Amino acid sequence: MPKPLIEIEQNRDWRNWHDTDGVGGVVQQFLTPTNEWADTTAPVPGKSFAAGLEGLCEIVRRAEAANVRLRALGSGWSLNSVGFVDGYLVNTSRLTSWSVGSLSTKSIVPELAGIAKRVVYAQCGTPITTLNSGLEARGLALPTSGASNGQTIAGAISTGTHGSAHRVGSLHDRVLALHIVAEHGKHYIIQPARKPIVTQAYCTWLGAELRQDDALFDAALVSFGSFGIVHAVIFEASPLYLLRLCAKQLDFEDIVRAALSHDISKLGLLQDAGEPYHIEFVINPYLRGKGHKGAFVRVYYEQAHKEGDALPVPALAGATSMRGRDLVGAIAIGSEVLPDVIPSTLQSQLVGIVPSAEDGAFIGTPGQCFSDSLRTGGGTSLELGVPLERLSDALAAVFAVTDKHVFGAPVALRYVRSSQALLAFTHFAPITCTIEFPGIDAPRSREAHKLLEAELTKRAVPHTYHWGQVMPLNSKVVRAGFGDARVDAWLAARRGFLSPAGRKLFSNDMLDALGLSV
Amino acid sequence: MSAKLARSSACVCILSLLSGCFSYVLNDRNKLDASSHVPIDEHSPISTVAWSTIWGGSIPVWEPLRCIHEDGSVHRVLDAEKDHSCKVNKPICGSGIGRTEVSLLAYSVPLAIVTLGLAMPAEITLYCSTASEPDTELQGPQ
Repeated sequence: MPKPLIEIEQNRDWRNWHDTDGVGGVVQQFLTPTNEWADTTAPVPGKSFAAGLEGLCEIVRRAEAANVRLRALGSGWSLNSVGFVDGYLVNTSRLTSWSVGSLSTKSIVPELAGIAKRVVYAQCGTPITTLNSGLEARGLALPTSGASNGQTIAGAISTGTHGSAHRVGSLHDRVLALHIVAEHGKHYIIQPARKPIVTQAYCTWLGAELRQDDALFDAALVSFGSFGIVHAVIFEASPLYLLRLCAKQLDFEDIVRAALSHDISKLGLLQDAGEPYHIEFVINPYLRGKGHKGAFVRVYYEQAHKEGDALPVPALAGATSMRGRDLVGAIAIGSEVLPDVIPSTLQSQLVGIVPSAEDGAFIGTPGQCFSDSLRTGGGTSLELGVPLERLSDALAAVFAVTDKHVFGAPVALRYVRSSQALLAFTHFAPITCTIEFPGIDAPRSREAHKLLEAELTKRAVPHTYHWGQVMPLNSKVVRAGFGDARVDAWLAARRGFLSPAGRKLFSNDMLDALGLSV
Repeated sequence: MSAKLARSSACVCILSLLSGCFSYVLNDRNKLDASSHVPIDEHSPISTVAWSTIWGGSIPVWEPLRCIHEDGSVHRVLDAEKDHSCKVNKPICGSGIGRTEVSLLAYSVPLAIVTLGLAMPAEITLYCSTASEPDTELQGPQ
């Protein structure tokens, strides 16, 4: 058997994409497996991922032999060290083999044969942008995504990346099965017993062991690499839909009821534009008075796409376009040293980032609406999940902090259907409201993050933290946010799947601090 | 007079060193949807310092490769003309180059001034594309 091609860098100093202070560091080995073989063996059609899969198995065995901890990276977008370990760090960016509607009849359980044409098998490193454009060209689409497209599919799923598709949930909620490389380089298909997708025959063809287990699936889905290296995910794509944008700048008092009730019918937005697919509010917390126009609402309405119709013509970046932009870059660094200018600087940034689009003229595919974002160079962000019915208390806590301690970040609200994944930070039913504070990493922001945690705890507001963003690193916060039952079920599933040595292998300092590596 | 000259010289030195911040970026576009960039491997850039000399009369051509060993390990061959030991070579990026950056170095402009333009170094950085087409062959047991 030929050897898989793996590029290795020794003692590499790795930093995350946003170059966030304190994230990353020197790793013993930085390994980049590829879907190429070391000799001239060509990839086998239908199994073009084989070299990459074998590469990951080989890397796990080498890490075990060297007795070092191991973690896999997606695009490195996380703003904390959830994906980092100083032992063997695996770059999955080159593992981008994917297929749609290609699983054979004998691969899919008969009950789900009806969705076979929409079933996607995507290797871990497949970028969201590749899936967007590739699926849209075939009349399909991702059911949801984050605000932009640079994450890898496994990275996005493993950290609970979400949009504001309140009827869909997060991307991980549409995953049907996980293909994970675990201890000794053995690999598994993990799927729920309540809704299996692939057959034993498929797993045999793949060389994987089938684990059909609801508790294991719900635990492994959002587990940031703690059950092994996710080699691939199997998920269901949606028929292609289009999104019509309506964005409006208002006073805070005009939007507050709509934000708290998740009902935009009285905001004077588009009439008869279809069902709101994505509802988002962005608030300048320092301009909440009448006439300040410190609140922005952005709604995407779902529009049907008829098969055979031409896709909207994409607006090219650089021209005036109305694409969803990542809010991380909202504040200039200078505002941190001049706090008095933060409210006005923030306002001018938000006017640029959420331009008014009241006529609904912009229609795009999901890939066009949630497109490229820019590297911030020192960006940070904290994002909370709270039950929608406690949003009022949560916002009161937020404004209690911002009224006393000005820091450079807007308050962005999005709404996500609750998730069954045990450690999904969007687990609050029926709707989790996410409250995000994207800004520049600076002492004022770090202090504000501490104050927010203290204020929410003081007011007994249940809350969780996005796994890929800044969060307090202690087990108390995890248990308070998810509840003992969820955390204990997650730990039990991990103990059932991995030996003590395996749990150590697939852990890191952050997991230790959160009490999740035991 | 000499203090004024020293201040002016220091100013010129600082400004010329700052020219090391100048960068130029070429991004490829997504083949199926030109509204977005082609995805790249941000974690593994490949860099070299290239020297254009004799007032641009000599233009360096950089053709990096990957040298593949029998055990599956790889080392980058940044200057193929100087490394003839490799038996199996592959292109530096399996799926092509998605992004190219050219940056002046802190010493580029001072050196060009000192050598009267004879030598002008710049750093070239490549990022491999990670774009992929779907595998259309049937997967699984037939």
